[in-house]
Amino acid sequence: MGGEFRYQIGQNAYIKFVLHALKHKTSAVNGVLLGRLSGADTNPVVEITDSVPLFHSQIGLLPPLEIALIQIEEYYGAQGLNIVGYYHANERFDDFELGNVAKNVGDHIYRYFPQAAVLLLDNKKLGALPNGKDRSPVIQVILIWDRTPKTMFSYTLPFLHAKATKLYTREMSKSWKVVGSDGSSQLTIKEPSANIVLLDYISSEKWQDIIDFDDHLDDISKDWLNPELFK
Amino acid sequence: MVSKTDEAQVNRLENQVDNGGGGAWEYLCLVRKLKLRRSDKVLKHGLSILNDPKKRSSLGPDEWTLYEQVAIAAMDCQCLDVAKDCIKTLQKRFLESKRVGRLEAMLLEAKGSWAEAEKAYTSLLEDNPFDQVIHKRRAAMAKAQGNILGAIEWLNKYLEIFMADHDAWRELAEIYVSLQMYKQAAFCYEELILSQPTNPLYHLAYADVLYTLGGLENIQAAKKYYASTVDLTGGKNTRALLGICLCTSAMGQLTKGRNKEDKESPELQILAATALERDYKQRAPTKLSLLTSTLRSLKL
Amino acid sequence: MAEDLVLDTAIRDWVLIPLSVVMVLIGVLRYFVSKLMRSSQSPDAKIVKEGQIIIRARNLRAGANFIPPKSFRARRVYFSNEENGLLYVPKGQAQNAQAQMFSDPNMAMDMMKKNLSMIIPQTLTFAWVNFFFSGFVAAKIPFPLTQRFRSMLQNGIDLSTVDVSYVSSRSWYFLNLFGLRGLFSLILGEENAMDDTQRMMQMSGFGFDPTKGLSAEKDGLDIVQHEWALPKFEQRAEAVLRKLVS
Repeated sequence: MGGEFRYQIGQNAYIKFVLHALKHKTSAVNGVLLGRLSGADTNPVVEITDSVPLFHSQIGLLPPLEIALIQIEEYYGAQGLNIVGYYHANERFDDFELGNVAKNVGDHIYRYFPQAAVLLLDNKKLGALPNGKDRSPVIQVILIWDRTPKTMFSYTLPFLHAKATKLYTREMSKSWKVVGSDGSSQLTIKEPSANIVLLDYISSEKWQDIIDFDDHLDDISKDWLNPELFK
Repeated sequence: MVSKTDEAQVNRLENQVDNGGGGAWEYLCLVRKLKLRRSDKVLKHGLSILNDPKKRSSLGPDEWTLYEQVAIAAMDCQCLDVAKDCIKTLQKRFLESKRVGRLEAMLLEAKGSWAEAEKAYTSLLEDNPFDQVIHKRRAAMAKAQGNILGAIEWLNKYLEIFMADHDAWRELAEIYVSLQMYKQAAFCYEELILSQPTNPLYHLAYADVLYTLGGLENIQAAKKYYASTVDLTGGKNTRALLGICLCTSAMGQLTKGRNKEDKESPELQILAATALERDYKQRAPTKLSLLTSTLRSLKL
Repeated sequence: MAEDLVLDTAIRDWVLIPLSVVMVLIGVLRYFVSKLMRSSQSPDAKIVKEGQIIIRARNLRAGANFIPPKSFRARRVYFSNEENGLLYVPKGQAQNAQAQMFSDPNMAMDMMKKNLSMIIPQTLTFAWVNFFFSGFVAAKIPFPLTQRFRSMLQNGIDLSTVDVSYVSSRSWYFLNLFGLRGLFSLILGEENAMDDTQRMMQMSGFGFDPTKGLSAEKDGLDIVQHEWALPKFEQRAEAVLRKLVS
């Protein structure tokens, strides 16, 4: 691994993530990100095309997670997509730490996809969303750092503002860590008007319709693929 | 952890009230009884009753309970003005009441003035050292400030005295799970099973924790608890059925090297798989193929 | 004697019903008065904790078969341990409770108040009944009774030939006394039922002795044989699933 990576998240994936977090305001939520590695060798981009909301309760338990991962890999593997990352939203408003559970799941995904990213919802930015014309995603990005310590990733991102993203990278000591990055970031949303669409959905309370794997296990007639969500 | 029937009932009432069908008071009473956290709905419907003087007077003495419920819901939704108004009304009616004093301290907590709230709670506790709600608020405050270990300490202290309070055991179990302290979480769930042995949700949670702990003995025990959940829910609980399949496959992997003393009959797993497939065929036919391939990969 | 006495309906109108109504009213009055007079009980720390321990120990006994044997044994040791087990009470302390009951002035006052609130109305009502409603047959009990009850039930009636089933109003009073408990719990709400009968039973067995409760629980716990019920559950689950699938 020595290249520079950019991450591009599709609007659907981004919106699903935020709506999921909004549906369960009083607990932590998590989910997986699906996509593929594309672009030329000189300019590789990890495209996050879709996301699947996983759980909103008892996130630290293994059995539902295993079942979910098996099913997701099965389904998306047939479409040529891999699990490229994991997203997490903390229970508390001002909690910007990546918890142990999230780190462990991230490690697991990292083993299969070394360019895995962990996204952490930035609650403060989400709260400020209706006010500003901020086009940046309301997410902190946490990434794997290259093992050679001197290399710094430089990410150029036309849309991202300075404070939007915190870069978490993984040091030699194998932990996900924040590396301060100012001005440059590596996460874009593919469609620039994503935040506006998101605001629209929030005002229409669309987050009631989103279904995660927890809901599916409680009532299997609910579809965690959320096919009707964006229609 | 609410049973499915209760949750269905609450949802039904909620839909009814949302669509203007009346029944707001029953909904609020049910939410209060089941101790659910649906603060935005409670706030909306509670205020609609309180702001209408006719409806309010028809409540009689329950009006004050409603004020309390709406005040707490308002604090949860950060509508602190509404909460303050409710508390003022209650103060006018019940001067020097400890219950209102508790609400005031909660308002301080909601504003984020942790130190003042702490002082208020301590003084309330001096008057009445056995107020369970206040003890629990202290643990909640520690958790809200991010001091999870402090919350655990408070909860443990609380449980040393009030060891029969199963809400507290449940909260403690969830905190342990979030910190990945599974052994301690297992202990809490055992307490919960002891207090309500016929509640399948606790069996299920205990089985999940045992599976996550890992190790052959734990997984065998987990399988037994999934089985008891299946028994208690009449085979309708998807998580338990999937749990059985997971356990069997995990046990198979762990005992691969050892001699095949197949004490465990494979019947249970086959039955669970069949039940799952049947259920999926009926209610989620689009996912059936996914399920079958999942089950196949588990039977390694 | 098998004669059938015909009782005037006036008896029903003017004796039975008013008596019941009066007793209900007195009960309600007593409830409100007791609410006013109730001193704020500051529960003793020890008693609260012991009450909770007892509940937990009882749960442990009841649900013992649902948790794994190791956990059960660990908990049993925690409770019955000789040195610092929760249920273990050194012999010396066991006697204290009764002495405490008498010496503690607050508690004595409380008991006095409770008893008074029960005794006085009962005495008054009884006297009133005797004064106004004695000397005639009030009702007929639908089942036959032996002669022994004659003195109790037929107090005002001085005819020895009347069948014992015909009773005086005094027995109606006693009937109401014991029977209106259900009615009171309906009117006054679940927690506040005036259960005189329970109070009377409590009076005889003097006082709440928590230490006895603890050692009783400890014995109960020691006796329990743990038999893990879970393996049976696997078979039961199989049966359930089989029925579901077939």
